[in-house]
Order: sequence, then structure tokens, then C-alpha cells
Amino acid sequence: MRLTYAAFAVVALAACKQDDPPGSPDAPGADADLTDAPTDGPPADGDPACLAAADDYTPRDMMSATDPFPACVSDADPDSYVVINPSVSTIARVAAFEEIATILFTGGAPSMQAFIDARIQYLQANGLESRMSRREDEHYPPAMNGAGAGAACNTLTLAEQAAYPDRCIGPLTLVPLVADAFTTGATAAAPRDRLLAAARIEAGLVRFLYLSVYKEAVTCKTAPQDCDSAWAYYGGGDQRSGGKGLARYVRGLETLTHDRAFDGVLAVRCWRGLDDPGLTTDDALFDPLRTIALGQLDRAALRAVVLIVRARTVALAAATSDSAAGYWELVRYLAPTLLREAFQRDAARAAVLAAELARTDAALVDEAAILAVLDAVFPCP
Amino acid sequence: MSPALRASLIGTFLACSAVARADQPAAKAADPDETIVVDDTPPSPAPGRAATTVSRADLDERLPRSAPDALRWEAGVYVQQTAAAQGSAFVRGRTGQQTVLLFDGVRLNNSTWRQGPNQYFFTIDTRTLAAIDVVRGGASTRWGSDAIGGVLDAVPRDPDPGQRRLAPRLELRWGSADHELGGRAELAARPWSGGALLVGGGYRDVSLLESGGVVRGTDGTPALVPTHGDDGRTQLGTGFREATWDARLVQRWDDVRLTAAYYDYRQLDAPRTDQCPPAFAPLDECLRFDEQFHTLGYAAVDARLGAWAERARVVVSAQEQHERRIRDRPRANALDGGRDQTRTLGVAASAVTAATAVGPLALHAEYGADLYSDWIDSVAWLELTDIDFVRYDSRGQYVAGSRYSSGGGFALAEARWRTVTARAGGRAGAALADAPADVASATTAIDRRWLASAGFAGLSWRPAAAIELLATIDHSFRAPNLDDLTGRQATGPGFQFENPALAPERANTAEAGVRITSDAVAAEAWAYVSRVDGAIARSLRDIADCPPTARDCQGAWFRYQLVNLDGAATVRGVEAAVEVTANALALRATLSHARGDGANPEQRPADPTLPYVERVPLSRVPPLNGSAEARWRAERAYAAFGVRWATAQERLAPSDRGDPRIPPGGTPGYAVVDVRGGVRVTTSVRVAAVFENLLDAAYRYHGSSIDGPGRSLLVFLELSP
Repeated sequence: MRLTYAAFAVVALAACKQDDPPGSPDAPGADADLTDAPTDGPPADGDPACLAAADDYTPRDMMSATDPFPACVSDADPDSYVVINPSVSTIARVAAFEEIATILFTGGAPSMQAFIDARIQYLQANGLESRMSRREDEHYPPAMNGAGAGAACNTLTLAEQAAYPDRCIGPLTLVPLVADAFTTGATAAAPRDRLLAAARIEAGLVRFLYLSVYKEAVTCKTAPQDCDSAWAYYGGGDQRSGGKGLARYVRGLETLTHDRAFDGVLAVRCWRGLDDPGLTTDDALFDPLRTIALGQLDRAALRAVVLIVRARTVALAAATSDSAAGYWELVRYLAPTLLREAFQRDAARAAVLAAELARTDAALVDEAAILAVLDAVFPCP
Repeated sequence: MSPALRASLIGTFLACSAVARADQPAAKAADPDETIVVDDTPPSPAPGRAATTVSRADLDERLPRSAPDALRWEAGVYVQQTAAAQGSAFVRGRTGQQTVLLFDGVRLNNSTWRQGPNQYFFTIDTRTLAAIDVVRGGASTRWGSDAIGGVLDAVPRDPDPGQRRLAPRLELRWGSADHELGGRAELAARPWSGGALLVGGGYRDVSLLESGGVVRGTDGTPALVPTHGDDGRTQLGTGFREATWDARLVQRWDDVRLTAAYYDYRQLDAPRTDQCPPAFAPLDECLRFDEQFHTLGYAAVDARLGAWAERARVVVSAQEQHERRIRDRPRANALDGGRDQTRTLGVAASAVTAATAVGPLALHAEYGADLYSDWIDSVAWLELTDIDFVRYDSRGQYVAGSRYSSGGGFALAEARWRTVTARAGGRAGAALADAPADVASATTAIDRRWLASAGFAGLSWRPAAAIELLATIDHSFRAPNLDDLTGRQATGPGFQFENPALAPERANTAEAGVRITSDAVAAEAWAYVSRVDGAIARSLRDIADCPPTARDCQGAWFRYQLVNLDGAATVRGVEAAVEVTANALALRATLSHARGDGANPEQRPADPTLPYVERVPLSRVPPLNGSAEARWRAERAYAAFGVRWATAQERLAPSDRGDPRIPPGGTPGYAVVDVRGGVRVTTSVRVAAVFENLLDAAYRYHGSSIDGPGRSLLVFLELSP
């Protein structure tokens, strides 16, 4: 053995290798909890006046017999999504979101170490960060490269992306928001700062989930397995009776919206099954169905965000100073995703919402005004 | 002694440079009346087999960027590059773990070499080489596990100060395609009687590689990788730095020769092109080999010990393969780090008997034994750069503390009767793998043992002096290594995890060839079938199959596990090479074709309406390819014109279709024209140049992440005062 070591010593002579970085000890433990109220109230059924649109896919209504969709794969069981590919990697990312939620989104001020632990979940290879850094908002036109051709945001420099802030929202807005909040949370001595950091992370991740549901449904046109991802980004791979991620929030707030969102997921799957690229390429026949399905899903998913914003705005009114700041931090970073649709539906009310969201101090927020706008502009899923 | 002698009838049985060429003794004739043919060509690295040699002169003229790059003109060899700082030779359609790489006969393969192409032949500095021997076809009898596709042996230069006591030499090199600038300084010395020393060191700084343009798949869609700069030619994720140093001492005492050698290769800041940035990731995300080091030290004794060991050799070697990887995600303030270190001790002994006449037969034999043992250290960490925080994973890509050994004994014999020569051999050996468990990552302990056997039989017949017909059947093997049994790693957008239950691959090769050798013509053609039973291949897995704690496995686009295929994986092919020489002019051409298919690694789906085929193409098998060269060589100057070409490769394995390195639909064909020239200006000054890719073709060797250099110039200057 001595000879072995001697041989290696000769071989390693003048190796000049970098040392491995030293491992870090855990950060200081948790502080006193700042929370003084549950995050969200019990679920409501939803407004019975909110009827499905005439051309919506309605699998729970006589197995879709009354809607304009032909018989399809989603009809047989309105409570179950039929996967295209049995391995849906998105499920792992939503599972990471759930772990982060357990660690950080407790309503209190997480410890510094909690931010580090959550961040490790966020940074997993092929995890949330990897997808957030490429996420585009498909509601906006594609970015253009220097040659004037449509280009994915990830192929552009940050400076080039800056010309398309709405489309390139993942790399340009969400990744910096979450990265900065993780840094703050892991280093801030003041519990209040950590509470706000956790809220910003939650806002960024929820916004990412919402955008991802729509994005995957859109790109399912060319990549059929993306329909599975749309389903998984909504509910973490659970069926109607369950729900992780975005679905967990929605089921806790309003049953109607959850059901409509799940109907939307099934609508997209229904269209994809009918417009099977292996069987037909007749876009004229199936594109109208796709448009309906995308609209139905997006309407419900947007309403899901509205419900979260609404619940936190309500909680804001009853909260103490620090907790109120936490609620407001989530609202002012999550609710901007509603403005595009709000301006399309009612520009005047949208302007009110935008003005409120510009406030940084929770004490100055007019909660009633925000709730009025939300209820007026987004009454139904 | 130069030129070397070759006794064409008795042959130089010594395989693959077991004795350094410069010191190669003449083979003894079994019969004093035997005709001895003397020529200038080096001995075949594997008599009776399909084999070629890239000579020092070839290297000097072609100015390859790396050791793999030096093989691009060889029949049956096709060089894939996952990065500008990597290169992996496909020999008869197989690469990586299924070929054996040697340096002066010392085995470089170790137990962490992964499936598919790898970068390790790149860690040999061509400036230290006298030649590269290429043996195509199974060769486990002589070289042990892994020698299924073939063997590449890098033969080092010996110290040669000529008549002087000290002979310094300096070479400089510049390239326009990647702004390469580098050189080597060395000193050959004869410090005492019988002793000769060569010490040297080199450095290269290589920048981004400019191609001939974006390569599009056969369906017209641009390849996902590499990412190009705004000019549409400069490839991001290329470039590297490289430092080498070496020392080689040769001491001779009568019939004994001692060689003590040390070779150190250090590659720094070498991005993996297909991951820098990865497809769909931000432009500034990059996986980079911070450090890719290979260090080899060995001592060899060559001696004549009598008739039973006319040429005997014992080599003791120590190696270290060191890799440090960093995936930089600057927008997330995160670095994913990993370091793997494989230390190998080896000992090999072999001997060649003197030729003996037994009745009408001329006989001789080679026999020996070898043993190589690896020790593994492996760590992985996540660094949060903004808060200076580092957390180590419970295990790295491999499990620290793993060990692996392989070795065996072999004997080969050759018998000649008139114009017929028969060859046969066998090996018996074993491989052992041990790895500790890691509970935190749900890694199970490994304690595996395999017996390994190999053998071959061959026959050659010379119906005329210039013509030789050859046929060989060979049985080779590859024992699963630690990468197969314990490795967890990203594979592009996918993830591969371990299978501790793998069994060895068993390969049977049948080949037949014809060789024509005359004053003006050297030609050979081969046809072969290579069948591997129990071939280890990637099989798609569901998320539920991932190790429970491996979230990166669960989140990957594709999940793979290595499996032994139920059916055979077969490569069939033909190779041909011809060289016609007339005075100073030479014309040379090669042609290679391989077609590989294997059992479908995926299970037949339960739904019978879903499409399924029993056999699928093997991954990354090269397309039909070849080369043609016209060369003029005079005493002090040379000029050459060469074409490398390949047809499109659209036969893709299922795993190829998800590989961003392969353009959609398949890799298009190409033809690349190079012009070369050089002159020895004075006895101490030599210049050479290659005008590469004259027509500025946008091209890619199938399976590569990088596209070939565009129209560019390589310039070389040698000063040897």
C-alpha cells in the first residue's frame, strides 16, 4: 500500500488542482413566527350564475354530449386526464414546488436555512429554475432576433430580451425576482424581510405555474406530450379529486374554478386526441376546437390566479403590519399577470388595479378598490 | 535501428508496440534458407488483422488538432466530437467503452468510462507521438475487456538527440478557425552512455471555433446545438486551454532496455459544447470542464531472456484521470459542481518467443498477463454563489470508495507452413467491481465478479507474393464497469441512472480481407460482421423507475437505464484503402461503411395497436464515408490535396432522436477539401500549413455537437537549432 501511495504521489506531482469548495454549515435557525391569520379561507362553491360558455367542452355534463366537441378520449371519465406519455417530468417540478411551499409559504417568516433548503429544491437539475429561465408568455407575440425572424427568448441576450419584456417574462422578470428573493431570504436578519422574500418567491412561482399551463397547452400543437405538462403544471399530476401546485390553491378557494380548470385541461386533451398528428393534419377542421379549448383553459387558469390575489387582498385587510406586508408583497408581484386580460376586458378598471399594484406600502393600499375590480372584471372562470 | 526490418514471411508477431519501435530488433528467421524481405514500412500493429498506422510524417503533414483528429483519414475510423476539446473515435461503428485505448501499450480505459463517445483520447498530446496504431475488430485476447470495436495505441517518440549531446526543439502553431495559438519546447539529451532523455512541455490557447455555417438536419431544420454567434458561424461553447509536460528516459544495457516515462495532460476551461448553453437554456448557462487532467507514469523493462522470451516486457504504470465539472447558472447564482478522480495501478508482462522450426512448420508465440485496478473518488456539490454557500450531495456521479479490477492471462501462437499462416490465441481473466452503498441516495452496494474469456483464430494465405487473403474469427468481451453499474449522470436533456445487475457483453467478430502489396500499390479491403450478445444499451424508463431521491432524474425529459439487450447488436461493414505510389507522388483513398442494428431496448407496448419494431439502428453508427488524397513528397518539401466526405446518416437509434447533437431527421452529408504543404527551409527550420475546408462547407461529423472548422488556415513552424 505504501508503494501505491508513493506511485500516486509521483503521478500527482505538480497537479495544481483546484480544491473542492468547503461545505457550509447550516444557517441560523427559525425566528418567532410572524403569522397571525390563516392564509386562505375555506373553499367556496362559486357563483352559480357562472355558466360555461356555449362552446366550452363540458365532460361533466352528459359526458360532453351537449357541447360542440366530437366524441374524444376525455369523454369516458370526466374526472381523469388520459396521459399521452406515461412519464410526465413536469410532475417532479410541481412536487418541488410543493416542497418549497411546505418550507417557505407558511404565512410566517421562514428561517434563513429554510430559504437555502427551498432554493436547493428550486435549483434541481431539470427543475423549476431550468424551466422558469426559458418560460415565455404565449399570450404575446414571439420575440424577434437581429435578422427579424421569430426567436425563442433563450436564444437572445438579456439586452435583446429587454425589447420583449412581456413575452420573455421568465428569464427577464421571474428568474431575477425569485433569485433576488432567495438571496434576501438567506441573508436578511430581519424576519419581516424574510417574510417579504418568501412572498415574492411564492408570487414568482405561482405566476410561473399559471404561465406554464397555458404555454404547454399552446405548444401541445407541435409536441403532443406538452398537453400532459399542461395538466401536470395545473395539478401536479393529480386527477380532479386531488390537486397540487396551482390546483391546490384553487381547490382551497373555489370548487367551481377548479372544476372548470380541470375541464379546460380535458378540453385541450380532447382536441389533441381528435387532431392526432399521426392521423390527420387538417388544421381547418381542428384549429377552431383548439382555439376553444385554449380559451376555456386559460380563462379558468386566470380565474385561479384571481382567486389567490383576491384571497390575499382580503387577508391583507385583517392583518397586522408585518403579515399585511407579506400579503401585499404576493399580490403586487402576482397580480400584474392579470393586467393584460384586464385591460382587454375593461381598461378603466384595469387602470385602477394597475395604480394600486404600483404601491409598495401595504398600508396605503385600497383593498376594496382591488376587490371591486377583480369581481367586476373576472367574475367567472 | 532504422529503418526497421520486417520479415514478411515470419512476420513481426509482436503486437501493438510492445517494444518501442526505434529499438525494434529484427525478427529471426526460422529457416536459414527463408527469403527475408526488407522494406521501409513499419511492422503491422496486428499481423493478420485489419490494422493501419498513422505515422509521425502523417501527423507532421496533416497537423491534427488532437489525437482523435489524427485518425480522420483512416479507413474504418470516424471521429465524433461532443466538444471542441473532446473527440472519440468510432472504430467499426463502436466507440468509448467498446474500444481500447493504449499509450505505449499501457491500457488507458478505466472503470468510469461512460457509454458512448468520451473525451479521453484527446488527453494524449500528439506532439509526443511517433505514431498511432489502429487495429480494427475484436482484440480482447491480447488487450482484455472492451476491445470489441478495435484498439488505438498511441506510440510515443523516443529521445533522439542524433549525434549531439543536447538537441533542443521548438514548435509553434497558429490556427485561424479557432485562433489557436500554442507550441511546444523540448530537449533531447544523451546525458550518459546508453541513456537518452526527452523532456518537453506544451501549451495551447484555443478560442471559439468558426464553422462554415449552421448545419441543418436532413429535414432542413437547424441543429439544436451548438449555439452560434451573430455571424452564424462562430460556435459558442467551444475553446479551451491546454498544458502538457512529459519526460521520457530510455536506458540501454546490451539486451536490456529500461524506459521511465511521465506524461501529464491538463485541459482547462473546456465547455461541453452541447451543454454550453444547453438546448432551450439561457445563453449564459454552461457546463464546463474546469479541469480535465490525465497523468500517466510508467516504467518498462524490455529484455531478451532467451528462446522462451526473445522479447520480454514488463510495465508498471500509475495513472490518474481527474475531471472537475462546473455547470454555471449565473442568473440563478448557482454552480453545480462535480469532481471525479480515477486512480489506476497497472502491471503487464508479455513475452514473445523466438521463432522455432518444428518439422515443416515455423512457430512462435506470445504470452503474458495483465492487471489493472481502479480506485474512485467522486463528489458533487451545489454552490450558491451569492451567499457563499456550498452543499455536498451524499454521492457524486460515482460512489466514492468504489474499486474495480480487471486482468487475465493470454497466449497467442502463430504457425506458418509454406504460404499459409495460422494464428490462434486465448485469454482467461476476471473482472471485479466493488462499490459501497449510499443510503441517502438509495444507492445499493455493488460486489460483482465476472470470469472473462476471449479467443481468436485466423488464417492467411498468400497465393502470390503480392497478395494475401486473410480471415479471422474473434471472441471478445466487455465486463460492465463502474459507470454502468453505479453512474448517475445527465445525458443531454435526459438522465441516466445505474443498473447494478448488468452482465458482460460478449462479442463475436468474423472478418475476411485481401491485402495487395507491391512496390507501387498497397491496398486492402475487408468485410466484417461483429455481433455483440448482451450488448449494454440505454433503455427508456418511467419516472417511477428513478432512484427515489433523484429529483433530477424525475424532472428530465428522458430517463434511461442501461440494460443488456435481449437480442444481438450487430454491425456489418466493409472497409477499403488503396495507396498508389509513383516516385514522389502518391494517391490514397479510403472507404468505410458500417450498418448497425440491435434488439429494441424498449419493451413491446401492451397495446398491440402501437407501433413497435423488433430491431432498431444502433446509436451514432457513422454513415458511408471516405477520403482521397493526392500527395507529392520530396526530400525537403511536400504538398497534398485531400477530400474527406460522408453521406447523410438518417438511420437513427431511438435515443438519437432525442439527442440534440443530431440534427432533426439526421446528419447531412458533406465533402471537405483540404490543401497542405510544407518545406524544410534549412536543417533547423521547417514550416508547414494546412488550408482547411477550402470550399467553406458547413459540415458535421455524425453525432457531434460541433460543426467542422470553416475555411481556415493552420500554420506550423519548427525550430531545431
